[in-house]
Amino acid sequence: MKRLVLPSLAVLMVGAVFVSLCLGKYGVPLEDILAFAGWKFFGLSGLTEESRSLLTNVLLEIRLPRILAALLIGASLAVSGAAFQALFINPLVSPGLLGVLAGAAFGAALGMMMAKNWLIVQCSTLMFGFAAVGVAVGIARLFRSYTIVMLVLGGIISGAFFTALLSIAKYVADPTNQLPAIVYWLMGNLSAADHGTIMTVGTPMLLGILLLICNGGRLNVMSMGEEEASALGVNVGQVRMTVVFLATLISALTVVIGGIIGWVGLIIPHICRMLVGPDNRLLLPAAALLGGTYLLVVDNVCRLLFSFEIPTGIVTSLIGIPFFVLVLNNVHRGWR
Amino acid sequence: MSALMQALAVSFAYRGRKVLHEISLDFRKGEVVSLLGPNGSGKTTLLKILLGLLVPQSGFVHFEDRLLQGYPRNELAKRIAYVPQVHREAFAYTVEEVVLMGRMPYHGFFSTSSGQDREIARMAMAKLGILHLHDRPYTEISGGERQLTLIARALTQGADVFIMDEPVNGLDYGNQMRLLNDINGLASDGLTFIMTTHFPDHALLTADRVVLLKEGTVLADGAPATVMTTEMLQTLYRVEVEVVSLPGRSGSVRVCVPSWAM
Repeated sequence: MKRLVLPSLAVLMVGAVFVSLCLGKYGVPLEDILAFAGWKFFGLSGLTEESRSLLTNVLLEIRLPRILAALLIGASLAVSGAAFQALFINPLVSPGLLGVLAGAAFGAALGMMMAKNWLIVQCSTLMFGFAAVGVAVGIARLFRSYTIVMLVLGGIISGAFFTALLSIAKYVADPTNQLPAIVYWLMGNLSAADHGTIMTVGTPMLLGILLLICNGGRLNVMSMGEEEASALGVNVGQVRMTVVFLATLISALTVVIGGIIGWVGLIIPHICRMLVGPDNRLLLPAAALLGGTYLLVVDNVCRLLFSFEIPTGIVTSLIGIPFFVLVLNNVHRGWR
Repeated sequence: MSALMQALAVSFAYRGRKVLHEISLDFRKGEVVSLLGPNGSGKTTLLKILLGLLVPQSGFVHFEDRLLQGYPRNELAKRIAYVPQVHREAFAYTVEEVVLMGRMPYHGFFSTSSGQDREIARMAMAKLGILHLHDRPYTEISGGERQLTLIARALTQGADVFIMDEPVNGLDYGNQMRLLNDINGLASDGLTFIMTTHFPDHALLTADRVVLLKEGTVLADGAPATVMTTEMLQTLYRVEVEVVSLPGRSGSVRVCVPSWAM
């Protein structure tokens, strides 16, 4: 049974991608997409010159970047959430535990205030995401007790600090242009995902996701506690730093593409644990596939349900919170 | 016979609070060594030093004539296994998944379990009589079964030294006795056990050798017959107890009884 889950999730993801390519203000039938793919990849001639350029524009320039953005953000949040849950031995932990999302949010706001250039905003987002985690780790180091509890406390302090900085940024931001832009960005939405952004951040995100998945076996052992992990031959400090670095990188990059998108990192690992069990070697790839598919579906709803777009982050929260209440009972069974 | 493991003048302090004072001990292959001592006598700290989890501030630990710190972490894990006190897990791994974690030091970058790993894990579970539990969640089995799972994991590690922190802690009486018997059985296969216990009777039942720790120093070290005397236990625990002999089927059995119950 468990062996079938990963292939099924992969098929589901591919299916969701095709459906998403079809759906939109300008409807594209599936046979046109297949004909377009045939022309693009095999040089088949099934379309007129006119519809080729139209489909190139609609599919490759507009829809595909957004689809890839949804897949990458959903997968990154779900995988870093699952990895943090194993690392911190707590299934209620989310990717923002060490303050990366608070830091990245502040970085984005600061960038929007200081610069017109979008690239600078993105760099600032990434940089402050890392800075916030750096502060959390620094606080843990300060007390020379480099334990999980100190890391978590460091993360809470760092997250609170950067949330306060974000409030300052909002307060001093120009209320006619900058403030609405910041607020809208922090609601989380994928409409800004363009070709160029995906090309630059796609590779590091995919690499981060894959490397985290490779650490699944070590994360299993880490979730037994650091002394046991160490006695089982794992270099605890090294694995912890690697996982925190990779999770920080991909989580910060989700903010770079789409602002703050909540709850994916918490609910997707839970659903996947019900499907494949807690073994992180299976759980992490399952979370990547389902997380990507989930965000893609939610994003479709956000862009199609009404004549205007709803910020995706709002919908993930609206779905995530009641779902989380429903699964709490299930969590309790395995977590005491 | 030369020592398998050797602690030489080991001292350790937590933030200036000294816990161990120049402890020197030898451990030989196939021995069952019980560490006895009151709370705070440094038993657990000593175990962590022998596992290489803590590094002594002065003194050395040798494993097969090499410094313990000289071994890479995963090489050490193939020789020395840690069986912690029974704990509940956050995640509902199956018994088999927990036992398979013992193959971690043999895994490569992707940590995939081979058919051989599974075979080794199955043999360990069969040896401890928990094979029928293999697909049960570790969180839903009894304390005794969990302790057996952790021992099976140590066997799966391929280790020849088992370091156990109060292995019977939290188990009911029947499971305590079964576990001690299992340990005796595994020791007769040539495995070395170093374990802490709060029960002098358990040391009398299983140990080849007893080390009494008091305030971070070795009070006595030797065979149970010579070390576990009424006077020694009274000094160690500061309580009125007596060690008495009972007639057994093959020689006498010694037990520890509080004086007020005699």
